[in-house]
Amino acid sequence: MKLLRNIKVWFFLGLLGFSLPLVALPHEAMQESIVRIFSHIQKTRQRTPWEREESVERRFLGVVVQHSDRKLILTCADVAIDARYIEMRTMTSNVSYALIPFFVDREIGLALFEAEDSALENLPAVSLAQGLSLRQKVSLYSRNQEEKLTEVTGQVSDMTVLSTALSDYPRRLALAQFDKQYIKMGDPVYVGRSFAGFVVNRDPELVQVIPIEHIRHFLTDQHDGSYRGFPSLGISTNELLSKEFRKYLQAEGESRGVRIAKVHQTSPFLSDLKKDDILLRIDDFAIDERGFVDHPRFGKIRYQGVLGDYFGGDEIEMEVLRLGKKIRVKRPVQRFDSNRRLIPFFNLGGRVDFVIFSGFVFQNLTREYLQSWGRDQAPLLLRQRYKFENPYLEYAERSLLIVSQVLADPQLSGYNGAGNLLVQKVNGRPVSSLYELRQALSTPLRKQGEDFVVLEFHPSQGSAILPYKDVAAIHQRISRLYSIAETYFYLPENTGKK
Amino acid sequence: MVLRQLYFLFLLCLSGKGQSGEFQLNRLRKAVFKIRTTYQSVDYSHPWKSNPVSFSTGTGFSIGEGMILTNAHVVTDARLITIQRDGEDYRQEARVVHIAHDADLALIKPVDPNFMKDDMPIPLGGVPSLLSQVSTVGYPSGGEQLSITQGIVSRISYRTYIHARSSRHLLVQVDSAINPGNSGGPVIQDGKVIGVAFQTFTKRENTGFIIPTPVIERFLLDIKDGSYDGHPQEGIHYQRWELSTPAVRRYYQLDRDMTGVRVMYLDSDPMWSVFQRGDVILKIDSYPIGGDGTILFHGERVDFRVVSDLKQVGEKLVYLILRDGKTSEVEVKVVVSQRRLLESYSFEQKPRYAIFAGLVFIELSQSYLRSLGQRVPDLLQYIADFRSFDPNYRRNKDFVVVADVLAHPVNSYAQGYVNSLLLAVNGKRVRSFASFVSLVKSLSSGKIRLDFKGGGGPLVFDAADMRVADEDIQKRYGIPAMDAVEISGDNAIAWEEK
Repeated sequence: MKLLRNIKVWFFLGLLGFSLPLVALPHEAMQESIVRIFSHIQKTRQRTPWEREESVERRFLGVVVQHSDRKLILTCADVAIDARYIEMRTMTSNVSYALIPFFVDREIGLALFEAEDSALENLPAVSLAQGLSLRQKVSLYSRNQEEKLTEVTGQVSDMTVLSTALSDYPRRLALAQFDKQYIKMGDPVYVGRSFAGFVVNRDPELVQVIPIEHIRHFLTDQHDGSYRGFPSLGISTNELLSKEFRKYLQAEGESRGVRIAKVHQTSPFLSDLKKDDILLRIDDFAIDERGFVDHPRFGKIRYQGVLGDYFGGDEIEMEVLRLGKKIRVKRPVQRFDSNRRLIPFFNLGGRVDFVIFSGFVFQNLTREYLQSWGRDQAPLLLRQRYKFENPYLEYAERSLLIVSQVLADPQLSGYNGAGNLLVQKVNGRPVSSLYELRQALSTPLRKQGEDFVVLEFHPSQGSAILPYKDVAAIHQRISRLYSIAETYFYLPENTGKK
Repeated sequence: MVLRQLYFLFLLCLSGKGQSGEFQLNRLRKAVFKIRTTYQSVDYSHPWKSNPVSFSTGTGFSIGEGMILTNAHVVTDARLITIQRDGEDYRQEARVVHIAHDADLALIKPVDPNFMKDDMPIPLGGVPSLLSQVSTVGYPSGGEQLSITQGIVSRISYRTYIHARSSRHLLVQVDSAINPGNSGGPVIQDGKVIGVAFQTFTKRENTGFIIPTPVIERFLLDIKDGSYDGHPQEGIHYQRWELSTPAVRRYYQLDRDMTGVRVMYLDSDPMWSVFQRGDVILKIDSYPIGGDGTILFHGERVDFRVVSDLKQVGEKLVYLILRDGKTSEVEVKVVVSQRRLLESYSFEQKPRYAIFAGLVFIELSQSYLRSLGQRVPDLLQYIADFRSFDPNYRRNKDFVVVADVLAHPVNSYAQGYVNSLLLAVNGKRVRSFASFVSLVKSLSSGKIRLDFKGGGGPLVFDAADMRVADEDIQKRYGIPAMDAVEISGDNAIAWEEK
């Protein structure tokens, strides 16, 4: 009897011993497919673009994905912001491997990296979830202070459409509620043991997750060699709640649809659509008066959220109502680029293009330049340009040129302290890029037997007259005084170097 | 004996000095008044109403003929003004005779002329010199009796008078304490008024400002014909020290001893049309202008525009200018056009407004922007500051803004339109407030479409429904009049009947 009881005990203990690895193994495999990323960033100072701020380290998580015949690290594009060096370590080892950017799509906020030395060869790739939908239970993994992976569970409570700090592309995001407070950008979200998304933002209540559908789109797009990206329609719309306005637009019998407020220059529908058309449908999605569609998996979301299911180059059919008549148009849509505007949205690499001529620092007006002042603190003239005069451009070469500051020099005494000047003309020629600036600087104006450079700014800011023949000496002095490399100074060939 | 005589002579001198000091104090007690003002300012978001009644104190002093000089801001928007002398227990009602908001000066007089029977006016003196001692006399908070503080003259300059915001005039800085309640009080040197205390730098200690006698005398001369014309516009805007830049001097062929300023842009008044951008101004009247734009004025260097600022309507100015390499004299006759609402604050006037479909439309003004505090939208501030440079807005006489939306079913979707700029009515561009009101009122049937900037899409109302709704809104919200299109100056009860 005693022997039989002992056999039973040992049997159960043995079973327990065998079963533990059966429970732990998938978790360990999953851990191995999550890596720690260390991004060493160094921001460029927007207003003194020859200088950089101190280097800081930002930490993220990434997952291993199978991409054709190799393994790559997938993570959020924020990893690449101002990054000077990126490395990864697995969750269980402190051996570092350099990461090299393979592909970054700032609009959707995702990035792929290669690791050196075949570091990923032996790491398992994640399995991708089928989808992320409302009320789905999810798990989120983050690294704690001891660099260990911790898990917290939650649920998808809503779907929304929002843009981010990197792009004003309207992404479809899942909103999930978790109990944990310490959740970071780039933390992976899982459904069961399958990877389902990345955290891209959080407010006090909810975490925003870029869903697996967008991630699949991004990964699938990589495989055929040419990236088609995420498209946009190139229009702006307003809600159409007012019955009077519908009557005015001869749409009394139609309760659906939003008003087209603007068709941008870059829209493929530029010749088809007009302001005041009522947008009723995109492919099979009927749009309500507030701009929402009923998605079978995501519920009610803004119509822009369905565009994430298309690729650049895909044809999209739209149905609009124009003065009572329904019109259908179908066009291939283009990949969205939020930098294809007069004032670009975001420069991932952090580089600031600038030229110094005679102490005047010329650079393109960018959103980051405006943000460097603090919220709504940048000079009003420049803010107003960004908010109200910032069109999408057919070609991205045009920009808004400013003189951000004038570096003091005895030859420029009347202009010391000037800055934030909107450049309109140089030597009588309109300039809308640093390239055009260089060209114009090379053709000075001659007066009284001497060459001058005449800069014309916004009418409220006047103009400036600069010497031409002495510019090399001015550059040398300023370069020495401010410790700025001479390579940043533009010296036209015909100035006659000293 | 001789020694005794000398001793008595010495005592006589001392007692005489004591008697003189006592006389001065008595004179001040007779001549300097505590002014109590009950006032009520306009509610710019609901212009048929006034803000709650408030109360303030200041100082004024007798200048003869039964008149008391004080600051405009002491008696602005007054409903009741009383004056009281130090040591007396009687308050006398007073009324405003003339008010100059741009110079922050006002003349008041007691309703009972007998009150000034024993008047001992204080004569006006000249411009004090730097480091000379002055006494500030008044009724600052912290006590009821007359207060006298001493200080020295720190600076003489040409700076903004903050009461009306847009005006700059001659200004003297002193280091004697000027506190709330001192406003309007005399600043005395050698028994004469050398200025009126009126503003202080709240973030700095020992920094008080006084209105010097040239500005006071200009005001007194201006009103001699019974009405106040005001100071002319500044006119010429320039970049300081620009002509100290060697390249600029060579470009404009300035002789070694030539100094002055280059015109950057000009104000809109026709009196400045004799100038062109780029003109170099070398002299104003007999004053040579320095490279920083200053002239030697009463022994100190002050902005040259002080000369034109102190002129009366009809007087002439002579400028020596350099244009296209040649010097010439140009004569300018001083005119003063009506100060526009977007240049300076307005007082004693209820703003123009009109309510349609529950939307409260007002004329955009600096006073309205000030009432918004920190919440001024960029678009409206941009229009106030840069409209004359923007071809989209240059042709506007004034601008129409939605100040509030009085909720009603007719405007269910219009809540987001507060502070939107009205651009067009039924496709017709709105260039003035009066034309906007007249256009909407003329539409008795059909649709009224309003297009905005800074809000959402257009709003459309049925004209007939709007009229019915507005009658209902007027009853619901207790609005005495649904519009006020003419500017009225009759709202300040304290104005004296002329």
